[in-house]
Order: sequence, then structure tokens, then C-alpha cells
Amino acid sequence: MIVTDLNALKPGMVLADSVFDLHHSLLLKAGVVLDERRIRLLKSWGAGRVAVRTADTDGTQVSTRSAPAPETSADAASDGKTVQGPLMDEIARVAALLAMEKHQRADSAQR
Amino acid sequence: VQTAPNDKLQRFIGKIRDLPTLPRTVLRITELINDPRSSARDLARVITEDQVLTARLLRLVNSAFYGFPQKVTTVTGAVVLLGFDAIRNLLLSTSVFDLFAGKNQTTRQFFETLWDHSLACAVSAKTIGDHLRQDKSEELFVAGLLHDIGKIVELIYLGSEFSIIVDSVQTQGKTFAQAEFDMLGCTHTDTGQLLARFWNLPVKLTHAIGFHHKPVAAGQWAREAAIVHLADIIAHAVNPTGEGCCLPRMGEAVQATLDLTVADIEPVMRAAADQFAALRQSIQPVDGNAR
Repeated sequence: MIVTDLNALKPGMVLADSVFDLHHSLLLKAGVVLDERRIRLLKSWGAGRVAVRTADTDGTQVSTRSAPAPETSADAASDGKTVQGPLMDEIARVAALLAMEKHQRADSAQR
Repeated sequence: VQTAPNDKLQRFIGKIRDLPTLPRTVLRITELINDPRSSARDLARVITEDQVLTARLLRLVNSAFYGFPQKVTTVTGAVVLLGFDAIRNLLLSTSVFDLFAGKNQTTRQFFETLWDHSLACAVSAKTIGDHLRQDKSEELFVAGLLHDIGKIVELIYLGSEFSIIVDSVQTQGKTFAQAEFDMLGCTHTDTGQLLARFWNLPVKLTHAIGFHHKPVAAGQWAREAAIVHLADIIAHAVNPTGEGCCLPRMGEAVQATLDLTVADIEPVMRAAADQFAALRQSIQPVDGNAR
């Protein structure tokens, strides 16, 4: 897994981690193959950096969570789907942690 | 449904002229649920009359989910090990999904995603219940498994209107409930509750289905509804269902109703994720047309 800038994303890359925004809304699911449209979407959501899988992964590089996107018009249109709060923050944190552990296990299994 | 009738909803209900009926075996199981005099022996007899249920029960009891050291080969043995409640609830809920499996090729993908989410919610609800030492956590499992049953009703009876709902969730960022309400004047909690009542399911279950998005309105079953509500969120978190999908909004009263702290979340989610992975392998709907 590598963590990369949005500008370095290319069609065909596979997301290693699900990408959430600051309100814990899932933007793209881990395992999604990026295409031009999805890369455009990530940029329009304002995501900073995302984790992608690499063919020759060594499984040593770790990102605890995908880069959160700042609040955007897409969030404003979501009609308050999610609420802030310590429990929701913790659910999002553990979700990212579990996703990361899953990918680490998958990476080790491949080696 | 009864408290907020409106024209759109009435028209939709009018369309549902042919709600699927439960198989005879499942009806018997439902009767057993509602009959306090029924015994484990009665249940075993009903199950063994149905090959599909028998096979499923034995596969379940021998799965990693339960992790019993010895192989269980008889229905009676399974009843003794798992207990009456666990078995009747598991068989009831999985049979409900059988009704809809394989109905329509074009809806298969949505159905499979929904099944996965429902199973994750079921496991999460039971895990939360166990963590909170709630009585009868097996009932929470069933409530979690059936909480979105109204979406299946819509999937089958709405046709193109259902596609519009799904599209507007994905493209306009609406919540599923908001998109449903705009289209139908009701949501899957209403249609689900309608179906549950039609099937004469226990009232605790109809309330958990009908109020899983607003548990405080569930009256004496607010706690069960709150657990399913939280389980729904956790299920989305441990098993994301797709792009454009969000963690549902958490009702403000959930934390107070359940007396949960931040420290409870990680153990609950880890247990739920592990059990979901184990159970997913051993429990799948069978094609309703193949029965």
C-alpha cells in the first residue's frame, strides 16, 4: 500500500482504504478501481491524499486512515446524513482501523 | 403507517396486492414463537420436515460462528446446543430472505448487497446486545436481519421507481429515506413494518423494523430499536455497501438510551466484524424458486 497525492493517481489504480469525508460519509469504498471519473470526483470532494494498492507491496507502509476531505457542496447536499459526536468519531476511527488491518492481512497473504 | 396515512402511501400499498406469503414450515415456526407452550421437541419435528431448513441448521451449528468442538449431526442435537430461541429466530429470518432470493436477475445485485448489510446489522445488533447484557440477544439478531425488509418490498413492487430512488441516492446525495419519501411519501421502515404485521411477526420485531431510524418513537421497545439503529450504523462501517453511501445519522438519544461510552465501540465493532466474517460463509439465502 502506498499513500499518494491525488495528482499522482492514474486510472486502473485500486484504493487500498475506503475514503471518508470529515462527516464520516463514505466517498469511495476500498477495492474500487479508479477511473477518470472517480479521480475527478476525489478531486472535486477535495480529498488530500488516498491510499492505493501496489503490485509489489511490502506491507510495511501504513496509513491509519484515508485523507479526509474538507466540507464541500457534496456534503451540504447530504441533508445532514451524519452527525458529529464522540461515538460517531470512534465508529469512523475503528472502521478505518479494521479496513487497514484487513488490507495488511491480505497483503501478507499475497507474499 | 397507521399514524401517518397519506395518498401516496395508500397508492403504494394498493399496489402491493400480492405480498409474498411465508412457506408453511416458517408459518409453523412463527406460531411456535408466539406460543409459550411450544417446546424444543415441537421445533425439531417441524424443522426435520423441511430438508432445506435441516441442512441449513446443521451447517450453521457446525460453522465457525459457533465454534463447537464436535460435529453436530442431528437436529435434536442442534436444538439442545443452540437453544430454542436461537434456532427459531435464525430459521425464521433466513427463510424470510429465501422468499426473495433469485426473484429477478436485474435486482440480484441490490438484493445481495442488502443481504450482506442485513447480516452485518444482525451480527452487530446481537453483539451490542451481548455487550450490554441485554436479554434475548437472539431476537436482536433477527431484528437486525429484517430491519430493511421494506426495501425488498419496494425493490419487488416499484420497478422503475425504485431505480429512481437508488439513482437519486447515488447522484444527488440524498439519504435513502429522503429519496423514498420524495417518491412514495413513506420509507422502507413503513413498508417493512407493514409486511411484518401482515406476517403476524411478534410486536417487538415489528417495532424494531418500523422505528430503526427513530428509536425514541418506539415506546416500550425504544431500547431494542436503538440497538438496531446503532447496529445499522456499525454495519455500514464494518461492511461499506458502496460509493455514495453514508453512515446513517445517529439519533441523539441513542447514547443516553443505551448508556454506551466511546470505550465500548472498538470491542463491539471488532467482535461484530469477526462474527460477520465467520457467519457470512455459512448462511446464505437459497433460491426461492428452487424450493
